[in-house]
Amino acid sequence: MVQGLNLHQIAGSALAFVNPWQEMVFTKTSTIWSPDSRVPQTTTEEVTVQGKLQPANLQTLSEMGYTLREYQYYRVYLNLNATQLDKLRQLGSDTFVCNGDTYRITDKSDWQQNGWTEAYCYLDSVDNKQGEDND
Amino acid sequence: MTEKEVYDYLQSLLPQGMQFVDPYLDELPQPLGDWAQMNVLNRSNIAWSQSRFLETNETGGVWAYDIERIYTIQFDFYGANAFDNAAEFQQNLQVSIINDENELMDFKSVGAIENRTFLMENKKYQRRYGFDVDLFVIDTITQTSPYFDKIKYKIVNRGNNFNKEND
Repeated sequence: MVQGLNLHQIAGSALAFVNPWQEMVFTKTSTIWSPDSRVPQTTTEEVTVQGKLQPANLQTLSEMGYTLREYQYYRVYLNLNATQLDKLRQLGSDTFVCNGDTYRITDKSDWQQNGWTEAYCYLDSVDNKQGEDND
Repeated sequence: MTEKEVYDYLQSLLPQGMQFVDPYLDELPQPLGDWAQMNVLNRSNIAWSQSRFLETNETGGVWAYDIERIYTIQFDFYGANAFDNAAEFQQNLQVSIINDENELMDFKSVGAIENRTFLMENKKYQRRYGFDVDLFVIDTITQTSPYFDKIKYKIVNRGNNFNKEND
């Protein structure tokens, strides 16, 4: 694997005072079915990565054909090293939790060798408990 | 009967080894191969019995009445052998329910095996064959009996005080 200079990471860290890195926990649920039960056994794997989350540009979204009324869309930047990248790829996960809220990735750019990727996601569910704490 | 009791009972009458799946499971991949699903479509009340006392004591009692209901259950079979499974399970269900002595349910009628195959989101066919079954179920409802815990009475003296009472 070619390891290039991760310019995005450098730029991202430099701009951290505006938009800090946040922890994003990707989860994948595997299911095992058995005739003994009508509900599968589930196991969940987690990978925590650093990333940045910001609201997506509405014009870009509408150009891409998103229905803006249905969901609230965000653009997410992930900062990953080669190992994390590989693990995330194996995980095949498209949901992550950031600050208690769950987001679901809809479109993502190709995984790049510098360990940086970018994706569009929408807010799937909001952590209600966190909202209560803030009140 | 709860939904789970209905499914447990029906599944216990059927050949074992088939993967049954509860309806409406969100965000879970379907099982590989052949699988089946039961789903309560509706439940209608058709008759009520007279209420009867189950027990009485000094603090009251318990009375019960029965409601006869018809449960309509939809059976669906998925996978490559969907049709054969539907045919086999339909026949098994008819025979088992009629032969079952400790019956919780009585057989009313069974519908035709329908082809319910559909096109999935990925434009592949999902083979599905199924039938609907109507079953009589007697649900018993118990309630604590109302009773008098305090009686207020007044003795009206009809003797010498009769006139005095009316003053």
